[in-house]
Amino acid sequence: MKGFEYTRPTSVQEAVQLLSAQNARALGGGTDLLGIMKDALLPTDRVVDLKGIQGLDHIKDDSGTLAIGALARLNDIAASSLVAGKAPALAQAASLVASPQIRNMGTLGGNLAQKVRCWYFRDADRTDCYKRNGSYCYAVLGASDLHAVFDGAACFAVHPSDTATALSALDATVVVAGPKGQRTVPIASFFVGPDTDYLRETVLAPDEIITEVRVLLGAPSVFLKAAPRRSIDFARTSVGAQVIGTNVIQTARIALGAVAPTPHRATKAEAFLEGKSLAPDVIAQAAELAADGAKPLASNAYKIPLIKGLVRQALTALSAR
Amino acid sequence: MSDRDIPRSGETAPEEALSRRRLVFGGLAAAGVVAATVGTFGRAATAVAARQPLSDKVVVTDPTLCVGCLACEVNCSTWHASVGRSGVPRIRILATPEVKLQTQLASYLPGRTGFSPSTCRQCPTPWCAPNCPTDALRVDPATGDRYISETECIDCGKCEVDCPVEWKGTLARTSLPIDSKRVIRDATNNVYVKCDLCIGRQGGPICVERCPVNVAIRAGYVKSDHLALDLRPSTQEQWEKLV
Repeated sequence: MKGFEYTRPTSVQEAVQLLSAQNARALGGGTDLLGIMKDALLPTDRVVDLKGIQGLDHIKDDSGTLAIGALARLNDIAASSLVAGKAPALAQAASLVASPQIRNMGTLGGNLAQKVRCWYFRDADRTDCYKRNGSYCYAVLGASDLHAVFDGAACFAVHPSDTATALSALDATVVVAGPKGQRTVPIASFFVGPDTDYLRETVLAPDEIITEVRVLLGAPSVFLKAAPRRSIDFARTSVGAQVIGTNVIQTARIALGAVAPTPHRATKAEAFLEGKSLAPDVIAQAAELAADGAKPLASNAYKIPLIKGLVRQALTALSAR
Repeated sequence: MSDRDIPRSGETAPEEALSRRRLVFGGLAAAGVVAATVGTFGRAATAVAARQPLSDKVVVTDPTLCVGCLACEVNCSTWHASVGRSGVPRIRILATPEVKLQTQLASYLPGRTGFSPSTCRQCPTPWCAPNCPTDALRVDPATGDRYISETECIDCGKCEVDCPVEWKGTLARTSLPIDSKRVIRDATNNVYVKCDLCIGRQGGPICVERCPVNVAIRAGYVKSDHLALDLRPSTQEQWEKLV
């Protein structure tokens, strides 16, 4: 691994200041960043270890809003009875990330801000990948098993985060701190597609960090994940779903993970569900609509039936509550 | 001079480019019809066609070789923004389900058919140029590129009105309808933009360079005697084929 400067700030302000240097990167649990550094995928001259900042690992009910600090570990979120009871999709997503060891290290902020798992990006030799400031996407005419069926634009890497999918379904808000202070970003506009900027996955500037994620407590939600292995694997497709309304659905949110460069909201299915109840035929039609508009590459068409199946299972699970 | 003034490796200062006045009045004087056409610049353009150099090149697109990956649009935006110009893409891909992908590509990518990329045709007579009140729409004397100097553009929209070619249909990127000329407005920066063939960029238009199908054709993986996005001489014959 190339040499780097290690810093351990004790406040958010100090962290933001340290991150303003060129090629400075924030370290949460380090489960993503260290891999990137070992393979020299992105230049890293300074590591800003956020774990020295006190008070960013809370999980609490803040007047009807679930507030989770960016440094809260995934295992703590998965084990939290508050999260499991009030925002079950997030607890399920956190419990399905990778392995116990990684969940014990990995943080919520890091899980949201992680880089893509595209096998071409992670191949140290492919320096001309768009994500590495290159000029080519190998997935377009190459092996595209892991890649996007929605919204690919020049780059076809998908966002790999399970918690991002769950939080999109829960319509969370991300609190971000930067040199100009604090701002809140709705999760729907937190992730950035390659048509906006293929070098980053989120709206975070290099000197900004996530400090908190906030979710309104209440309505039933569910998260399901499909991956070749039951453990230590990234989703090939995942779904987070939440329905608001008792007998008749007022609002439905269906977020699909690992099928697009950002968590993909199945807006046609959501609109279709409004004003209906979760009867089997309604669920079947919504599942079909969830995959509407998918444009598979050479070897990722399998994600289309996977989307339909997962959405059907997720809505069926919600209908039983 | 900022980069928005379109530098060209020191070859062409903007003021040296053919301006509206030179195009119209120079041309009209040569044709001997100044008095008859003052005030009707739009029509006057026909009289000056012979005075205007053709563009050396035009981006010719083949929809049967397009897999809709949007590399052209994204790279167009990114490169123009990186040199301080508007980031609005000058090339757009429309969803055209009736277009069928070339057989070899379709056998590999059956789900990626029905896309049509297109951009400015670098018209032999640059209809967009004569009515520009600030001479922002220029013809590069060295290459004939028709381009807009964004620092001079005052957002009046006359070039858009005069542009004879359209994008009409559904955008592949957003699935939203588009009904626009190929001189387009950047509503954020209040300027009009059009394909400038990446004037000032070494290596020519970035869309042609980075199209992955082009890369595969050049490497021999995809069999085709021409590129998906091809640069060809902007002759009258070529232009008529495009129309």
